Amino acid sequence: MNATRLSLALLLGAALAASPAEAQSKKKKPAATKPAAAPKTTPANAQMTSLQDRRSEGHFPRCTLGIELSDYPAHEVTAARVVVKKAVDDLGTNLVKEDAADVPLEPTQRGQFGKPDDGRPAPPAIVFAEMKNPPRAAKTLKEVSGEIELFVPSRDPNGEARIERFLALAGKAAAHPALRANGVEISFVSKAQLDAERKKAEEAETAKLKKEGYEDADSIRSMVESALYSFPKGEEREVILKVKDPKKAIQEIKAFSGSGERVFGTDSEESGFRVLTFWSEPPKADWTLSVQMRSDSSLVRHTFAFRDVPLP
Amino acid sequence: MVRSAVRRAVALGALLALCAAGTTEAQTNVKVVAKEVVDDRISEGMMKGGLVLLLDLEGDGLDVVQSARVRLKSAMADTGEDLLPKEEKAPDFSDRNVNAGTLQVVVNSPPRAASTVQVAGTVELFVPGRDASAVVRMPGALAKLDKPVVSKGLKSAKVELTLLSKAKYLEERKKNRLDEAKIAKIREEAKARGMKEEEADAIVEMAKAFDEMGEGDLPEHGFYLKVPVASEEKIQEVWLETAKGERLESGGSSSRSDEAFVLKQVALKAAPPKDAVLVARLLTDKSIVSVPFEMKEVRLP
Repeated sequence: MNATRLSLALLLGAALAASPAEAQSKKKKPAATKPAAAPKTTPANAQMTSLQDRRSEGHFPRCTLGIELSDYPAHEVTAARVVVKKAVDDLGTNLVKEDAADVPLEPTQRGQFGKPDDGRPAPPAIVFAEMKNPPRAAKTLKEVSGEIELFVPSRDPNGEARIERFLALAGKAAAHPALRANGVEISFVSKAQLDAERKKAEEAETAKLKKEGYEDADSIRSMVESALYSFPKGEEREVILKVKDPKKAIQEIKAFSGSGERVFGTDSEESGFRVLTFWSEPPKADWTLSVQMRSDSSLVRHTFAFRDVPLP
Repeated sequence: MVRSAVRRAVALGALLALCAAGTTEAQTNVKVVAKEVVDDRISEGMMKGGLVLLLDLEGDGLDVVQSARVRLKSAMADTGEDLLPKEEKAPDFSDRNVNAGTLQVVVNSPPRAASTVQVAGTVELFVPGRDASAVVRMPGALAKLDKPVVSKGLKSAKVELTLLSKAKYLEERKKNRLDEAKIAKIREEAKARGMKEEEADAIVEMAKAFDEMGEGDLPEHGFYLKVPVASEEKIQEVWLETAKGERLESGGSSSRSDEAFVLKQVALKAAPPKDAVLVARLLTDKSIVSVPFEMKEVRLP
C-alpha cells in the first residue's frame, strides 16, 4: 500500500518535475503561440541558480540551466521562454538543441501560486534554459547565451480580464473591456447549448458516413460515437467555453475560488471547445475566471550570457 | 537500442523456488538486468541528484511474484568512489503491474570522470502463495467501523488497521490537513538541508497545492482506512470481496499521511454488500524470496 506522503522529499521531487508547472494531460492543450510583436530587448540582471545535467540514453535527457531574475518578483512573471542561441562546452561541443528557437511561452512554476503572504518579500523569478547534454569528458560550459522572454500581465492594464461569478454566465458571452481590447470573445456554453451542438455534430457525421456509402444503422451509430469520442461531455467539474482569439493573445485561463485561492485543473481543446476541468471540486457560484492575455506591454525581452560554468 | 546496450551489463542469475507452499517446488532462474541508467547531475541548491538504475527482472515463474524491491549492498564507480547512500531507508515493494514491473534504485552521483559502475545486492520478491498467512480475510469488518479490526491474522502479523465511517474519515482528513505546525516543520527541514528562505517558501506553496488536491469529494461508494505507518509498511494490498470470494471492482484509491498514520480511501464501482469481506495481503518473512545479484560494468550515460 503506497501512501502519498506529504514529505519534503516528495515535494522536492515534484518541484523538479514541475518545471514548467503545467499538468500533464493526454488531451490537446490550447496552443502556446509565440507573440507576433518583437518588444525591445535589454540585458537581464541574471544570476545562475543551478545546473542540471540529466544524462540518460533513454527518457528525457537534458541539460538545464536555472536563471534567477532579481528584478522580477516570481508571482508577476506568469510565463516565460528562454531561447538558447549559443551553448558550447570546453571541448567545443555545440549544445544548442535543434528546436531551440521554437520553445513556447510556458507558465512558470512560481508564477502559479499568487502573491507571497506573511509579509515576506516575493522571491525572484527563475527561468530555465534547455540544452543538449555535454559529453562526460567536458568540464565546463564555456558559454551559454540567448534571449529570455517574460510574460508580465501586470504591466498591461488590459493584460487580464477577471470574470467574476462566471457560472451565472452559462449560455452567454463574457463582456469585459480587456477582452474587447485584445479582440477576444469568450462564451460560456450551457448544457443545453452543448447538447444541441453535439446533436448537430452527430447529424453531420451521420450524413458524411451515409455519403461514403455506409448503410447499416448500428454500424453508423457506432462509428459516430467513435468519431465524437472526444466531444465535450459537460461533466460536473467542467466549464465549457467557446473562444475566439484571432490574435492568439490568450496566454492562460485560471480560476479562483470565492476566497481568492487558485483552483487548479486542466485546460484543453476538444472539438472546437475549450474545456476547463477542475481537479478538486465542481465550480462554484462565487468563483472567478482570470483570462491573461499577451500584448507588447506585457511581454518583456532580455538577453543573457553565462561563461565558464563548471559542470556538475 | 538503449535496452540492448545496457543489457550488456552482467546480471547474476539465481536459482530459487517461487511456487506456492504445499506444492512441488520447481527451481526457477530469476535474474536482474539493467533497463535504463539515468545519471542526474545537479550543481547545487535545493535539489540533490543521483544515479538512478531502472532494473527489470527476467526468468521463469515471475507470474507468481506480486511485488518486488531491490536492496543494494554495494555500489562502486570505476574511479573508486563508494556510491552507496549512507542513510538508506528500505524502499517500498513495487507492484509487478506498475511500470511494467521495472524496479528503481538510486545511489550517489558518480564522478563525471567515471565511465562504469558496479552494483551488487539482493532483489526481494513477494510471493504471497508461499505463505498462507500472507492473505488475511476479515469477514464482518464493515459492520464494525471506527474501531481497530479484530483479526487473528492481523494480530500475528503485528498489523493494525481501522475501517472508518465516512464521517470519521472526513474528521481524520481534516486533522491531517496542512497546518501551521506542519508548515513550520517543512521550513525546519528545508533549513536543515541548507535551503534559502525563498526556496522554502516555494516548497511550502507546493505543499499547500498538494494539500488542496487531496481534498476532493468522497466517492459515492467506497471504504476508508486509517493505518499506523508501521502497519502500512507491511500491507501490500487491501480490498473488499463478497462472501463467496469475488473481488469488488475498485474505482481507484488515494491516500495521505503524516508521520503516525496513513489515511486511505478506496472508491468502489458499486455499493458493497453488507457481508463483504475485507482482505489484506501482507508481507511476511515466509512470503519473501531474496535473490542476490551483481552487475559488474554498468555503462554510464
